Amino acid sequence: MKVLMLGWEFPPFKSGGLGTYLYGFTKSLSKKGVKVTFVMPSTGVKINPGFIEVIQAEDYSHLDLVEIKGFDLHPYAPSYSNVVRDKAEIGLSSGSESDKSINAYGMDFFSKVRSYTVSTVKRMAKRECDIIHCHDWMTFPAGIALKERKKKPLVVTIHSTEFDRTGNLAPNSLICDIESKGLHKADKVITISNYMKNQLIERYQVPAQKIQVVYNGIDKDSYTTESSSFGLNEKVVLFLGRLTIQKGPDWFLEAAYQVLQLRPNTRFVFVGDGDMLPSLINKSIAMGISDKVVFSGFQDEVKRFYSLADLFVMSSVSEPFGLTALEAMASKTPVIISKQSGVSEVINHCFKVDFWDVNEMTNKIIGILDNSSLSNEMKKNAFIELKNFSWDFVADECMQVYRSLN
Amino acid sequence: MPAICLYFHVHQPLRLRHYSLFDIGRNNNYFDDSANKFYLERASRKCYLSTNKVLLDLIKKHGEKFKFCFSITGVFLDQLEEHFPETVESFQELVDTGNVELFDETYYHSLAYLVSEKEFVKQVNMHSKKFKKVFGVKPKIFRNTEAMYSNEIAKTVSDMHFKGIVSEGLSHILGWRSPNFVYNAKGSKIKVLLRNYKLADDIAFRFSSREWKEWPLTADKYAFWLSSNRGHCVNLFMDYETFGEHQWESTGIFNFLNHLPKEVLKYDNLEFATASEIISDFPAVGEFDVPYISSWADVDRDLSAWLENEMQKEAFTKIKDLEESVLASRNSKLIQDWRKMQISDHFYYMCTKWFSDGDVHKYFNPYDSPYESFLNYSNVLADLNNRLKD
Repeated sequence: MKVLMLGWEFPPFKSGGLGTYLYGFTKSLSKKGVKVTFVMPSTGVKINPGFIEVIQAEDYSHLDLVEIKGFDLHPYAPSYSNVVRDKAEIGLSSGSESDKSINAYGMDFFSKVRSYTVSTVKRMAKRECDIIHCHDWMTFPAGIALKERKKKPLVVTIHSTEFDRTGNLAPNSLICDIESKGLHKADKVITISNYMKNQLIERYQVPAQKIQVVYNGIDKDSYTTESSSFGLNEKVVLFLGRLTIQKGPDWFLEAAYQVLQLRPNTRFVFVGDGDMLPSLINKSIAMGISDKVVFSGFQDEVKRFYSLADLFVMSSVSEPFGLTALEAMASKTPVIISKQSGVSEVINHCFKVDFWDVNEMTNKIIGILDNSSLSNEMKKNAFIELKNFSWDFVADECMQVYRSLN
Repeated sequence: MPAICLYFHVHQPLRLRHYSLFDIGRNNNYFDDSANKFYLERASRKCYLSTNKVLLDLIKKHGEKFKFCFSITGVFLDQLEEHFPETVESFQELVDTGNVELFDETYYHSLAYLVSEKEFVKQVNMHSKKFKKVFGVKPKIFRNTEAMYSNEIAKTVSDMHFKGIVSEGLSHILGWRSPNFVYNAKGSKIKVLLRNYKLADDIAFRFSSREWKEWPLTADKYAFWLSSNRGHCVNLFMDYETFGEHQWESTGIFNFLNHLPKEVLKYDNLEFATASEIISDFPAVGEFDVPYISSWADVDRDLSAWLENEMQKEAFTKIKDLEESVLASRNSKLIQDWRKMQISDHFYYMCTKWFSDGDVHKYFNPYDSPYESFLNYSNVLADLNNRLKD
């Protein structure tokens, strides 16, 4: 079986979970005999084995990687996140939302997506395939055009929607339109949790029977389970994710403040970048806890942070899945996750809180930091629980979807 | 001629309310009164009142030919007296017929024996006193929490002048021997009554299971099985909540119970007997030697449901270590709260054994996870500790 797969990031060129997902997923697919042609916007960086540590160049041999030159496309470009915040602030002002968005994104962005689509379709027009499989909205226009031209089934996987990325505050209507069109033109929609499935039904009126839930996988052996430390006699609580409204870093900071009132010997580490960084720094100064809070910025290599931490907190406001929770579990770090996440449907050996319930988050953070018996049991059992997640499962389920369409 | 000994254990847990770090030092109301009342009402309605009525009618119908045994925890009776006195009266009415034998146990359905022998004796005496007051009866038979049993426990209970004690019919101890006889406890004079878990669990666990090849279980079939048993007695010990709670009314469980005595009494070789009658009518045929504590729980028949993982052990060590200082405080409310924290259910909720499998245990677990249960418990203990300093 030949699959033409369209995505927008792939290791090492990644900013988030999608790259990790596509790497594990396509590797497993090819192991099972599926021939994958992977199309993505050019990264502008030549693959250089000396520079890539974890992923060797030959690791790409399992797929046919096609880069469409001249487009550095990315839904999380810094300007994007600023838009989100600006829009939230100007939410009541007059004028058409979409006009403002285009301007704030830069006119450039949407025209770039359009010409990327044209180039991709042109380049892939002759490529043979049985299935076209797209990941998230930027690739949808190209996927739809290729489906119509080739008369082949289109599968789309939704990893997050515009509503998630903007914390529901100010979704961009142009992007919503593209998402909607892709969902309705697709022959089958795959998504990564029931949490997301319900959103697609409610917000985009996708028929329930068209949606298949396939939970994320993880390559758990690639994480280090040995804990390390900063060399300070302090407990470390980790936040790892984009510092955007979606991920709820501000709720985590509120909890950090409360924890520090009761357990001053604790350090809070934020790994990730995003438009909220300045306000988080300012807030931590205003709270008088800046000496206990570390902002590391975006990190290519996150594994060591998991092993440094005594606890990982995922305080997302809206999290379609939450692969970081599985990564922490694979590193034998105890986990607190927000109930507003897909991963909370499928893992048991963790604490679950509402992202807005700062008191309860504090209660649970201190509970884990204070009680090694709790922490030990949780991480031991969570590690065992990971047997339910693998890229092979993901590949198997997606292959069933492919077969059902052929 | 096997005598059939029916024994029902009656208890409801005392659920803790959500008790956060921010409650410590501010609030010593630990229990979720409304949830406890809700479950008590549900159990009263679905099980206690209806089953009591079936049993009372059966006694009226069969007279002295139908008899059985109960044990009821003190902490459960307290709750009933407060919220549903009519259910207490319904139990009293049954006991007043004279066809019902009562067993003693620990007042708090607790792990008291593991705290200390002194605490255990104290809680058993409290329970005896409660039964005297509520039912006007002094039991001669003892059943420890979850049928926890060992030679040492038997010795302690024997020294308290009980004549008989309940244990699981532990096949790894019995070997080739049958549970359908009375045994002597090793190292003491007390007689041991062994649960026939095969036949008891046919009712308690398998009754409504459609995958079971014997489904549906009818009273006449079951009576036939009983009559084919060898030995002196068949001890059918189970949770009273089997009737109407574990096995819902729609499974036909009440119908089964209603017909059982009639079907049993059709056989010349069967009769109903109380535990006391059994130990006085039948000689002990051998020695029952249990060097380590066993129980009737799950497949393991040991303490692992309560005291296996790190959290359970830590929580238990903390409550145990408070004994001396709590008792020294002479603060009766504090002592009572400390005892309520020894209730075995709290530790059961922290069990991780079946948690991943989405087991039936979840139906009875008020927590989302064993971790929530542990954290709640730890916070309450932190407050107990605080109160000691006052």
